[in-house]
Amino acid sequence: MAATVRISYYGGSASEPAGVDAEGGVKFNREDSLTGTSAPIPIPTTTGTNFSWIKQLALEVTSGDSTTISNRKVFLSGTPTAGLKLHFKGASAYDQADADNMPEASGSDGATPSGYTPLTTSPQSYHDNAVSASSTGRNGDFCVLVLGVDSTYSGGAGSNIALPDLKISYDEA
Amino acid sequence: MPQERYTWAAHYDDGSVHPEIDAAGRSRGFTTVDAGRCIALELTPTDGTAPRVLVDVRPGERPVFFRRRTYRLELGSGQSRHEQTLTVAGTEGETGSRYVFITEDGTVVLTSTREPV
Repeated sequence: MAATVRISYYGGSASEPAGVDAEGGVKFNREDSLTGTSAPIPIPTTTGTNFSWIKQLALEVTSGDSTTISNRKVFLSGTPTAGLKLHFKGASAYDQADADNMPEASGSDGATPSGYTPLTTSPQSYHDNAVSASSTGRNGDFCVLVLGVDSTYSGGAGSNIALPDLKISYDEA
Repeated sequence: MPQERYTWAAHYDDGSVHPEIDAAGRSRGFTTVDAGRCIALELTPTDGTAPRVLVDVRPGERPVFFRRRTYRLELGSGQSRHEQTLTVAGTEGETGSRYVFITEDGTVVLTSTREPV
């Protein structure tokens, strides 16, 4: 009646790697890692927004069933602290996180990078198409996330800054 | 993930029934339903206590069934959990759509959209 599905992280490789359990947490940094703390996002000292390197998540079927999955959406459990903003986009292909695909810093506070959409508490689609859940592996497109930090953020530096919970929903039939 | 709250069965115009769980106990996807022959969609509670749900499928309509699942990932602490599964049945056709959304606590919402608030 149901495929076994998890939210997986894809990174640390030039080509698409196997997904790893993202359910150990995600840190938004400037390195190609899930939880690394050695390359933090600098807090702008003047008006502007700096962004993290991309984090690529996707639904991964770990035990298949005769169902299909569609209507994948992403949203937040609450609103981030002032000065922090999460953004997303769907992507059909893997792209290794590096400085080149990090969104360019903006001279405005609260900026949204080109091609991305701000995450909110309302579900928003990142991939609608139906994909069979009969086989194990990634199901559907990547949900590419970046975190923006602007000059209004007053929480100070740290590697355990609280963010709202990330929610992913999908339809299985 | 908790046990499914309902299983579906498609009733065909020749009196036969196409259930989600076949005689051998294997589950089927809803894409195996022959929509053109389906005259009703029945949801049977797996715990035997909730009411059964019957959705009539009129000429020109096609049956719809899905489970909307939500997972919640705590970005900081790393805790992750299944948050909810909504069971959804309904019909779609040129004259409109209608859906029954059933929450895990048994609340029923009737709606004309797949994306109710």
